[in-house]
Amino acid sequence: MSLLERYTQPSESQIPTVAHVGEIPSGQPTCTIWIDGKEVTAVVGESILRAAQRAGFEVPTLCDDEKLAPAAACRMCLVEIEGYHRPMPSCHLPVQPGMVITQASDSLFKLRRQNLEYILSDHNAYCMPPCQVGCPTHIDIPGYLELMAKGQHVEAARLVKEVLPFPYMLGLVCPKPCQEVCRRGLVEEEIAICQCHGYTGEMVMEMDQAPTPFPQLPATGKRVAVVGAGPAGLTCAYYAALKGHAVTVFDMMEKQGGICRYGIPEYRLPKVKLDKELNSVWQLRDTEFKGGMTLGRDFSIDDLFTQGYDAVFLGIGCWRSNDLPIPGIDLPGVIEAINYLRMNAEGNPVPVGKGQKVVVVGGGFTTFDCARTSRRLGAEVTVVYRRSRREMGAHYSEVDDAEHEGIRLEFFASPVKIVEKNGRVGGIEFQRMALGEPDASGRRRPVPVEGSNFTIECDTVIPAIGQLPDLDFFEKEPSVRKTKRETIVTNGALMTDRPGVFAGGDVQMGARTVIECVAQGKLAAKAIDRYLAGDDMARVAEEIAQEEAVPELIDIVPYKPEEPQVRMPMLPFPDRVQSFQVIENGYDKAAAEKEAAQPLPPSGTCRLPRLRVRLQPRLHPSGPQQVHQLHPVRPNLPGRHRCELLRAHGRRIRRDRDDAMERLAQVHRLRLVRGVRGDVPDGRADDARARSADVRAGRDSVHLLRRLRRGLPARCTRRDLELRALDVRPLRPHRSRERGARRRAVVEAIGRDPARRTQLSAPAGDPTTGSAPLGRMTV
Amino acid sequence: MPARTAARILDGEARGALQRARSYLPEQLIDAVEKSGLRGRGGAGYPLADKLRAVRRNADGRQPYVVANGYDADPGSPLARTLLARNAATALRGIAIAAHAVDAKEAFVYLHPGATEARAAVERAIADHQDELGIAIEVALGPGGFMGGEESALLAVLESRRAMARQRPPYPASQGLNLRPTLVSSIETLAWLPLVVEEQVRASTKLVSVTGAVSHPGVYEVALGTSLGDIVSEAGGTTAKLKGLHVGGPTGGILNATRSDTRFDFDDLRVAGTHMGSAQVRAIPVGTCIVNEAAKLFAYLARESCAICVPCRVGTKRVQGILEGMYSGLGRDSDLPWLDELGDHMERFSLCGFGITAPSILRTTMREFPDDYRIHIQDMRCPEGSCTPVRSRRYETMAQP
Ligand SMILES: Cc1cc2nc3c(=O)[nH]c(=O)nc-3n(C[C@H](O)[C@H](O)[C@H](O)COP(=O)(O)OP(=O)(O)OC[C@H]3O[C@@H](n4cnc5c(N)ncnc54)[C@H](O)[C@@H]3O)c2cc1C
Ligand SMILES: Cc1cc2nc3c(=O)[nH]c(=O)nc-3n(C[C@H](O)[C@H](O)[C@H](O)COP(=O)(O)O)c2cc1C
Ligand code: SF4
Ligand code: SF4
Ligand code: FES
Repeated sequence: MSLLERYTQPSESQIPTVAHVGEIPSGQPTCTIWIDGKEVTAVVGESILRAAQRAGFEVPTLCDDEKLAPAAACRMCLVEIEGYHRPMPSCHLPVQPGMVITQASDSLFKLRRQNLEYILSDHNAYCMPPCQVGCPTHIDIPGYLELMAKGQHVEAARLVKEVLPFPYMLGLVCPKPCQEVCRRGLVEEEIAICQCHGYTGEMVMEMDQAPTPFPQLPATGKRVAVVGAGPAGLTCAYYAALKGHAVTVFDMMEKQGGICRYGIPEYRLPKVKLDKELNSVWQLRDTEFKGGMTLGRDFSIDDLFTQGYDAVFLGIGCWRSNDLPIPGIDLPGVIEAINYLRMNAEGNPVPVGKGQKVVVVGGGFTTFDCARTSRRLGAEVTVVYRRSRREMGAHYSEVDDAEHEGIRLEFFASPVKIVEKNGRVGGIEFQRMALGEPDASGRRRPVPVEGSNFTIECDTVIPAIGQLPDLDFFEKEPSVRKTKRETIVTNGALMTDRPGVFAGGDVQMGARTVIECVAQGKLAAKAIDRYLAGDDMARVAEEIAQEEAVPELIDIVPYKPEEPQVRMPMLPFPDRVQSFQVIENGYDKAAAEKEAAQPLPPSGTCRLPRLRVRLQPRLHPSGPQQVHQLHPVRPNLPGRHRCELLRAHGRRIRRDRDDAMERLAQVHRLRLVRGVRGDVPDGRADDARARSADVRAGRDSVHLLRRLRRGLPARCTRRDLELRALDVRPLRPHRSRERGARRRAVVEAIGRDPARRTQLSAPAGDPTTGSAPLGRMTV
Repeated sequence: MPARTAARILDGEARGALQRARSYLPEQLIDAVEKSGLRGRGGAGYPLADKLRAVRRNADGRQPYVVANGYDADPGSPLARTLLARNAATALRGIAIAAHAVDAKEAFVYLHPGATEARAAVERAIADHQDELGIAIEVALGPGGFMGGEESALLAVLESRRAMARQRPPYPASQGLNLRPTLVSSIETLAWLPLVVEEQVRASTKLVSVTGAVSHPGVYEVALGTSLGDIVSEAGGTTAKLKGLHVGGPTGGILNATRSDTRFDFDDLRVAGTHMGSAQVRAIPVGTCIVNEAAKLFAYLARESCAICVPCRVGTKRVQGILEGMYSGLGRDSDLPWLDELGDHMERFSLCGFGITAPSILRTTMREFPDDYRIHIQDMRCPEGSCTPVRSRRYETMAQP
C-alpha cells in the first residue's frame, strides 16, 4: 500500500505504525534497507524518512508530519537512492526491500542549503514572534499576554516562570530588548511587554506559595552548589531545584539578590518586594541559602566537591569597577561606584550629601544609578559621557528620567585629569570628543579634539565605566580558565574546563543585563541537569546552540490601526528629588489587561532556526538598498498617507492569508471526507486552536506545522512587493531610542502645559486594586 | 491552418479501427502499439505501450480511467485544439481503443476552458459516435494557466482540487484519479492509435506550432527528425534574419539560429539542451535581447508555478529577479555562477516537470548567447539596445553569498 493510500484509510483500518506504538509493532512485515552504508530494519510501507529517523539519522525536514499525508513540498528531506536518477523526497517514498540510500553527502548538503536559503530569503514573516526572539529567555510573550488579557494572571505567571522565575524584578529593571523589536512599533508604539509581566509577578507575589511552571520533580539525590545569589545564580538554583536536585546557594553578602539588591537602588527596585519574589526559590523543597560565605576565602571549589556536591555553578557577577586611568584618581573625593551603591543600599552613611557637586563619568546602568542616587541625596549632579546619547548603555527611559530629575548631561567629553584643591578633589578636566571612523563593531569611535579641554568644578567624582569580575581567588583554582577580560571560560553548555563546574551570568559574559544573566542561569540549570544524568556535554552544547539560534528575518508590515500604549503611571518628577520612593507605580488590573489584549503576533515553534544552524546558509541580512524593489524608488510619502498604504497592505496580507487557508481547506476536503487518521479540522478552526495556549505549550504541534505549511504557497504579488518596498527595513536595534526622543518631546510639552502638569501630579492609585488614574500619561 | 506534409493524424480517418482493435486481445493490441514506436506526444516522449502495460498491471481488478490530455497548456501551441477541431472522431476512437487496451469503461477528454471550438467538436463527435465508442466519455475543463496541463495537477483538477502537482511515484498508472490506475496521455498520442491499428504504420509525425518571425505561423504536422530550419521553411520561411530558435514552449531552451540543423525529435532536442515540451518552435529575430527573453520567460513561469515545491516557487521568482536586475544594469559577474547554481538546484530538487525543465532556458541561453549576458553585465548596456530597466535595486531579500 502506498503512503498516499495509507493516509486515506479510515482511521480504524489504519495499519498501526511505529509512531502509534513506539516500536515496530509485532506482526508488521519488515525489510532491510541500507542508509549511508548502515543496515536498517524498516517496516514495509513506511516512509524512508521514518525508517531513517528511527535509525538515528537526522534527515532535515520542514513539511513532514506523521499525522499528515506527505506533501513533499519543502524539499529538505530529499535523499539519493540507487536506481533513481534524481534525489527523491524521503518523506514521500515508501521503503522497498534492499533500497540503497544516501541521506548525507556533499551534493545533498549544497542543494539543501540552497533550498533553505530560498525558504529563509522568501520568509516574509516571523514564525516565532520577534519579541520572543528578542528576549534572551524567550518568554512566550504572546502566550502570557493572551492569558493576561483573559484575566488568568496565575496561569500567565506560570507560563512566564517556565523561563523567567522573577517577572516582577525584570518588570522594573529590564532594558526591554523584546520591545525594541515589537512589530507594533512599526505602526505606532510597541506593546508594554515588560510592565505586563511585572504586573503578573506582582500579582502572584501575594500568594502564600508562588506558582511554579510545573510541580517540583521527585528528589534525585544529587546536590548542586550555586555560588552567587544574583539573578544568574538564583535562576540556576530555581530550575535545578525544580528538576529535583538539592541546591545550596552560597554568597559572600548576608542577603540574596546580588547587584539587584546591592547595586540597583531602592527607588528602582524596592527590596521588600524583591525579597518576596526571590523567596520563591526557598519555597522549593531542598533549597538552602548560606550568606556570608566568600568563595576563595571561606571555601574553594574542591571543598564543595569534598562536601558531596555533584555540580557547582559559579554566578559571582562583576563586582570590581574598571579603573579610570587618569592622574588624580587617588585623591580623596573619588568614590568607587559599586561600593558607593552598596553602602547606600545597606543603609550605611555615604560621602555624598546635600549641596555637594558630583560628577559621574560613564553612560551605563551604574552611571545613572550613582547619579540619580546622588541626586536623591541632595547633590548637584553632572553625568559626562564620551559618546552620544544613542550609544549609552543605560535604557533610554533612564537617561530621560535622569534629565528630568535635574541631572545635567554632558556628551562627547572624556576625562583627562582630576584637579586637586586643598588636598582633595576640586574639579575634573575633560577633553571634547568627535566621532571618527567606525570601528570593528560598526560604532563610530570617538576621537579627541585638540585644545578643547574644559573643567567642571566638583567635590566628588564617581567613575562608573563598567565592571569586571573579581577573580583574585582564581590563583587557587588552576583547573578553571579565565579570559583576558577576566571572565570565566566555558563551552556552549556553560561548563568550564573542569567537569561539573559551570559558570554563567556577568562572570561569564562580562557586565551585561539581568535578563541575559537569567537566561544563562536557566541554560546552566538545564546543562547541569543533563550533566547529572550523565549526558554527553558536547551534544548538550549543540542542542543549546540550536535552540538559541536567532532567526534573521526581515520586518513584515503590520496591519492594526493605532492604539496607544497604556502608560506606566510614574512618580511625578518634582516628587523624586530627595525621595527613594519607587517611581514606577505599577499597572492596575484594567491597564494590564488592556495592554495585554493588544492584537498578538503569531506564535509557534519552527524548525527553521535549527536547520539554520545545521546547514549554515550563506545569507546575511541585507542593507536597505538591497530589498525588493520593482520600480524606481518613490519619494517618501508623508506619514499619514503612508500609514494608509500600510493598512491597505495589511488588509491584503489578511486576504491572501484567507485565500491560502481556503485553498488548504480545499486540499484537505478530500481527506476529510474519507477520514484521515486523527481529525483534520478545517483551516479556520485549526487556526483558532493553534493560537490557544495549550497548543502552544505542546510546542511542535501538528497545528502549528500546518500553519507553516499553509504559509508556504501564499503567493507574493507584484503589488505586495511594491508596497513592501516602501517600508522594508532591517531590524534596527536603536529604534526605541529614537522613539524615546519622541516621547521626550511629548513629556516636555506636558511639562510646559500647566493644565497637564496638574494631571501629572495627581495621586497614584493602589496598583493592586485597580483604582489608578490611567489617563495621566496617555498622551 | 494548412498542413503541408504527408499529414496523418490531422486528417487520417481509420473508421474501422475500433472494430479491429476490439477483435484483438488487449495484450496483442499493446504489442501492436509497441511495434509502431508510439511515444507520448505530451512532451516527455514516454512509450505509450509501457504506460498501457503499467495501467493493466496495476489495475488488479479495479476499474482504470483513461484521461486524454487536450489541454494545450502553452498558449502559443494550440495543437490539441487544432487536432480536435479537424478530426475529433479519430481522437475519440483512439481513446476508445486505449480504453479497450486497459479495460477502462470511463474516459475524460480534458480541455482548456478557452477551447470552445474544440469542445463543441468533441461534444458533437461524442453524440454522433456514441454507439460505436461504447464507453462513457466525458468532457472536463481545466482551470486555465500553464500548470493545468501537467498530469498530476490535471488529476487534482478532476478531483476538484487546485491544479497543484503531486510527487511521483506513485505514478498515475498506479494511483491516478481517485487513486485508481489511470492512463493519462496526450490526445495527440491517442489519436495515433486508430492509424496504428488499422494501417500498422509507425508513428512518425508530430504536430508542431511555429510562431514568431515566420510568414505563416500556425500548426503543422511534420515528420519527427525534420530539422528546425526545415520546420521554419514549412511555415513560409522567416520574415527577418533569425537570432535564435526557442523550442519547447515556456520551459524550453533557446538555441542559436546557427543550430537550425538540429533535428526535431525527442532525443535530439534533449541533447541540444532543450526538450519537446509543447512542441512550439518560435523564431526569434535579430534585435532581440536574449537576457530579456529569458527574464520574460521566467516572469511567466514565476506566475504560473503551482508553488507547492520550494525550488520552483522561489527559484523562478529569484531567477526572474536576477535576470531583470541584469538587464537593468545591476548585474554582477558573480550572477552567472549563481544562476548556474540556482538552475542546478531547480532541476535536481523540483517536484514536477515544470521546475525540472525550466532551467534549460538558463543553460541554453548562457551557453549559446554568452555575449548578451557579458555585455549586459560588464558594459552595463543592452547588446541590442532594446532593454528598458525595470529595477533600480537588485532583487534580494537577503544578501546572497
Ligand atoms: C548599578 C548597576 C545597575 C544595574 N542596572 C541594571 C538594570 O537596570 N537592568 C539590567 O538588566 N541590568 C542592570 N545591571 C546589570 C545587572 O545587574 C547584572 O548584569 C546582573 O545583576 C548580573 O547578575 P549575576 O547573577 O551574574 O551577578 P550579580 O548580580 O553580580 O551577583 C553575584 C553574586 O555573587 C556574589 N559573589 C561575588 N563574589 C563572590 C565570592 N567570591 N564568593 C561568594 N559569593 C560571591 C555576590 O555577592 C552576588 O550576590 C546593573 C548593574 C549595576 C552594577
Ligand atoms: C507544466 C506542464 C504542462 C503540460 N501541459 C501539457 C498539455 O497541455 N498537454 C499535454 O498533452 N501534456 C502536457 N504536459 C505533459 C503531461 O504532464 C503528461 O506528461 C502528458 O499529458 C502525458 O501524455 P503523453 O504520455 O501522451 O505525452 C505538461 C507537462 C508539464 C510539466
Ligand atoms: S524580561 Fe526583558 S526582554 Fe524578556 S520579556 Fe521581559 S522585558 Fe522583554
Ligand atoms: S516544479 Fe513548480 S510547478 Fe512543479 S510542483 Fe514544483 S512548484 Fe509546482
Ligand atoms: S519534502 Fe520531505 S519533509 Fe518536506
